[in-house]
Amino acid sequence: MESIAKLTGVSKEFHSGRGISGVNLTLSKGDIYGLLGPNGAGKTTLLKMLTGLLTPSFGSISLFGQDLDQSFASSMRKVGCMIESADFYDYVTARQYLKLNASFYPELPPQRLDEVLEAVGLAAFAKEKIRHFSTGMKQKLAMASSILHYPEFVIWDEPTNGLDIEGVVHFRALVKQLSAEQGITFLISSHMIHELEQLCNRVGILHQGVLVREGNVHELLADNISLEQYYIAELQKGKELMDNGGLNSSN
Amino acid sequence: MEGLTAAIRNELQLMIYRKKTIIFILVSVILPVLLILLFHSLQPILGIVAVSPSYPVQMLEIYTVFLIPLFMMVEIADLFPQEISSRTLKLALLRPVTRLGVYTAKFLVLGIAIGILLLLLGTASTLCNLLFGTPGTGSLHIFSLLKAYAAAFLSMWSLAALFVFTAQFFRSAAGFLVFSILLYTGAKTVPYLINGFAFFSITSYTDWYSLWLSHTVSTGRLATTTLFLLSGLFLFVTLGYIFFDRKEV
Repeated sequence: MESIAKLTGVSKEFHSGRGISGVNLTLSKGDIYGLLGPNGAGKTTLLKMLTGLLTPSFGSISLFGQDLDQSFASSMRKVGCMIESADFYDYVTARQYLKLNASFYPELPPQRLDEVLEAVGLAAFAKEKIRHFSTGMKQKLAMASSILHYPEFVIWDEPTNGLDIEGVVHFRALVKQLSAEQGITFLISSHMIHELEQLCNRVGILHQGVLVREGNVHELLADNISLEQYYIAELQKGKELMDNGGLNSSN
Repeated sequence: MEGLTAAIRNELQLMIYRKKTIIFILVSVILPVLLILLFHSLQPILGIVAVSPSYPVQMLEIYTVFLIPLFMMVEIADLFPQEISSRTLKLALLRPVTRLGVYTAKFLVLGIAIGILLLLLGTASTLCNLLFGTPGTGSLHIFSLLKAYAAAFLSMWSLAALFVFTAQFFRSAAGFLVFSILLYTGAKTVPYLINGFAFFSITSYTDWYSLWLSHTVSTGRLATTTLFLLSGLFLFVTLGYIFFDRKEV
């Protein structure tokens, strides 16, 4: 299976003592990978390193088989992402913002902007300034922006933050549609375990900067009632390891 | 290269969308008109030759000492610290362009904005002189005018490089603006207290264009000062990039 993203022994140390420790992770083409973990576990840090916003202290990251540092611009052409929070230039309209992004992809057809706005349910607000948008609307715009250029790999950090129930249902349908129609690989970090259970084929659990467990969702569900039960059990194990002398990438 | 072109287009577009850039430029262009009207109204009272053909060059002093430095500080604040405080820098960094490309685009767009402002101010001042100038006071050769404005552009862009470097240490636009105004004022004051400081300070070359209008200045001196300004520009742009490249957002 073609490797889309590969992290090898990736660590990041912050002055606070928190960070990421020795993460090894491979995403194959077509994966919908869910990254789970409590607040402060290092999910966003991991995604930021994967997109070049943070530099790893140790380890290597490759996208599409090429080292991220060496081929950043060419790799990022095939990546769509929404990291940490949906922040925008609030003095532009939704359409103007997408047009700014589209200038990096001259091959895009002109109607593509309207297509993605329609896909996330923002077509009616295309000419409205982003400063008037709610959190959920900004989240939808960030999704629209990240799928604008037909990416092969989409990274979404807490994509359902601020979305109403209808928005969450729409989000789920969008991921399934994009995965089925365009074969996009997804890496989604979320607290919404039920959402990930329904969407993902693989999940990883990050606890205190360590990827404590990862696996195929169907296999995990064979041994557990739900992904939530599995998640809580794994976190408990991680906590016990911490209490008994520390948790690191080797154990 | 495709990424850099798109990044430049993006930064220019954002500069236009930020209304304060357009308002600043429009208000700036009105300034020479207001001043010439003021001079005209004072002329019968004071009995002086208020507006000579060198008006566009006289105005250049006001532009290069006050107006353009203030304009560049406001723009740099938006291009760098404001992007960090509003967490929009990541939008630029997540696009298919290297960090060097993002930084270069921001600096080039700043240069383009300064160039456009100088061009508009020069045009407005020249038109004011043609329409309201006092007749029979001689003429200023257009080539000299172009030389003066081109020289002013280089000194302003070098000064911009210094402020771009300074901006890398700030995470808020307000903090950067206050510090850079104090820094600029201080750097303008120090030469009055310490002899020789002016030779080594980019901030002391804001009136550098006047050398290009003088017939007594040697070519060697012009070449030396040009090299000094270019060196300063490249030095501060490079230092600025080193800090920009290390930014973790």
